[in-house]
Amino acid sequence: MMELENVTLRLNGVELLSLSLVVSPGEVVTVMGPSGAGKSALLGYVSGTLSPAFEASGHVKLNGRVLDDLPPEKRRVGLLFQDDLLFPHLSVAGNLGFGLKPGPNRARIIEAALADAGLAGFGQRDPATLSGGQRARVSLLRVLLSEPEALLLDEPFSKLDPALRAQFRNFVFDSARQAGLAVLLVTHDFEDAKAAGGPILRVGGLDDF
Amino acid sequence: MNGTNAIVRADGIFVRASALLASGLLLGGAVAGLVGTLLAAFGYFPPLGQEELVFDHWAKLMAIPGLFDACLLSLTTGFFATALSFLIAMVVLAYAHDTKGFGVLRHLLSPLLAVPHAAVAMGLALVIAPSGLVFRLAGLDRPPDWLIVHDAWGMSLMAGLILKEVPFLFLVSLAALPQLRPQPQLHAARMLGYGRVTAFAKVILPQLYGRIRLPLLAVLSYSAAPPEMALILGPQDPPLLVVMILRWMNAPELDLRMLASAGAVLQLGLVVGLIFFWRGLERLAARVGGVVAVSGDRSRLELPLRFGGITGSVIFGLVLSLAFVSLVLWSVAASWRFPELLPPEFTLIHWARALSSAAGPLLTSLWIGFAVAGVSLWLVAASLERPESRLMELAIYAPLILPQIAILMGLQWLILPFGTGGIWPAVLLAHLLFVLPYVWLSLSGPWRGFDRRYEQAARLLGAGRVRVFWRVRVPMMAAPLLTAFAVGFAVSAGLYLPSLLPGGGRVLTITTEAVALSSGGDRRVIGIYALLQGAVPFFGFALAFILPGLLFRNRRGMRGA
Repeated sequence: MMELENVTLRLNGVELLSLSLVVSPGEVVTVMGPSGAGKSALLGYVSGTLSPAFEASGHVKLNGRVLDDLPPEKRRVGLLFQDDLLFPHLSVAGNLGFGLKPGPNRARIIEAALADAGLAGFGQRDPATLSGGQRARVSLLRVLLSEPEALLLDEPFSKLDPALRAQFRNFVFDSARQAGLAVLLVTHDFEDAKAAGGPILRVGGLDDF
Repeated sequence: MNGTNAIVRADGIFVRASALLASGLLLGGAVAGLVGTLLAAFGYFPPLGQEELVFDHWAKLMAIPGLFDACLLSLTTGFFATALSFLIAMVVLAYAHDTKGFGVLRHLLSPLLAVPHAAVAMGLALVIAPSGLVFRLAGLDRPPDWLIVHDAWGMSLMAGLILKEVPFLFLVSLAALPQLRPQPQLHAARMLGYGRVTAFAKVILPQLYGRIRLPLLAVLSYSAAPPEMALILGPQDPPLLVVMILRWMNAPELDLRMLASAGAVLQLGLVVGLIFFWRGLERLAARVGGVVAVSGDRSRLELPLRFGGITGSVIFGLVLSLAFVSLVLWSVAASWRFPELLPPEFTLIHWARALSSAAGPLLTSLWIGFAVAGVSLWLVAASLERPESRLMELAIYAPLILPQIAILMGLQWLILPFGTGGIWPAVLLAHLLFVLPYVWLSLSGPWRGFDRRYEQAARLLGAGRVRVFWRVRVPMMAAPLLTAFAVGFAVSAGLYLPSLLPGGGRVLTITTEAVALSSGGDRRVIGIYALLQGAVPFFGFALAFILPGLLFRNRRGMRGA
């Protein structure tokens, strides 16, 4: 369970948003708002990657752990960005291995994850040779293999074309549900919010809606 | 501030310390050098037992015959070489920057940036000398009886400076141009009826100028006191002030060293005066330009500028190609008497002989270059992790805008108490002073432009700062890092004064040897040393070009990074 308590974000002294919310495992909570409303900053705050330009206050708890002062790598929070951000210098398997913790059977785990995602045998491929949809899936696998306890989605569907979009969206939500992750989605797209099937919170000016 | 401590930034204590070291070395080195020079100029020179402040050396300096002419020559050379280089670079940029041939031009000019000043000067000297290729091609049967190289007006020197500074200003401008998003503005101006060059001059240049002012001032400062070029091409009686100073340094009488220090302080004064003059002209140009820009005139300057730009570029290219051909021909000529267009016989014996004597200096240049470029890369990468600061900008440009001789002379005095043990640290520090800024200029754009989300993604996958740096940042930045290293190596290999002065003449690099031999008059040796000296920098660039391709041969996303 992920809890945000009285989280307030300010930029140059102006308050962008202020909210409290709880996300249960397997649930998707959507935060909607126009661009500039501080949606991405909210995810930055939760993940510990907020730009120092912002002032923030409040608390984040994940399964009872207080995240406030932890560096990003200790938070066990996964984040999917608008872009897939696959490391261009590593192979597909290299990208997945980067997130996977050390242990036995790494190669087999990576192979199995790729096969589940319909990407069997893609391990040695150069990520630059994959299609947009394939790259998006690898990007999600990379996050899942790092075994996060919560998943943050920063409009990860917005750059995909419509057919692919619905398909990838379902893939993400199904995978997260299976893994029992608390999911926090930020978007300005109502279709995404509807598909998430969870509570929707609106922030910022609402004149876009 | 609760909850915001864990931002993704790689500035741990090591990074902070490195950044501090970088600005400390640059500013400390420059200031210490200037102070040492100033003290010696006023007679405080403990190595000779002089510890009282006196004005004797100034009186002596003022009484030197030809001093006024030497100063005047320094000022005119610095000003005209800079102004002409700027003009040519801007016209070429205006004319060519959105044409198809532009990529070719850029690739031709980029390597030229790596060729040391001395090599360019030696090549030019061979071409324009009365017995050079130009007059052979002109079909004369006897060399004309003119003083062309070393001419009293410093014209050859200015030509040499222009050959070297145009590519620099051109590439610096090119790097700054994309931030201005020039294309839509230029299209708008062209639709309003302005020609290519006029549109650029009236719309883009005023915005661009502020971004290239500091490099331009560095060119101005260097051109007023270009040591090796003035020795090879400049007037000799009277010479530029910087050459006078070098003569006093080489004289056996030790108290001339204090005269030389006073001269270096005078050189500093000349450069400061020149910079003020230039800034005054800037203001004037801004006022006049402000009126002209909105006068509605669309065509008056277009054709002359176009014509001038194209003619200038053609002459430029021709002279450079001839210079290269001359160096190669001389280096393999058995004999080459005047009217002969080509040497009748070729031989490699001079190469064989020169290579055995050049091997030592070559190795010295290589290891200094590697060491200094490597340290610079570390310090620059660390400094770039810190927020931008005025102090760092000042530290970067101080060694470039202050005259080299005013800094280096003082550094040399400061190491005298340490004897020969101080020589190598001083040479390395002096190289670092002038290499680090160029490594900075090369790396800062790509390093700051790196998409930080890759690092955020890596951190959220569980990787700590250090792992993210070595496994994500460094490999993804491999190409810019290697290029910056190559730039640093090239600059170091071409440095003359920073090897000569702190080394007390004991440190022989390929550049100090080339300059020393250039006055000897054996054109075969000159050809060979200029070619060797010009080739050393390419060693680094070849590495920078080949390595990323090898390391990432199966990664399409890493190409053209």
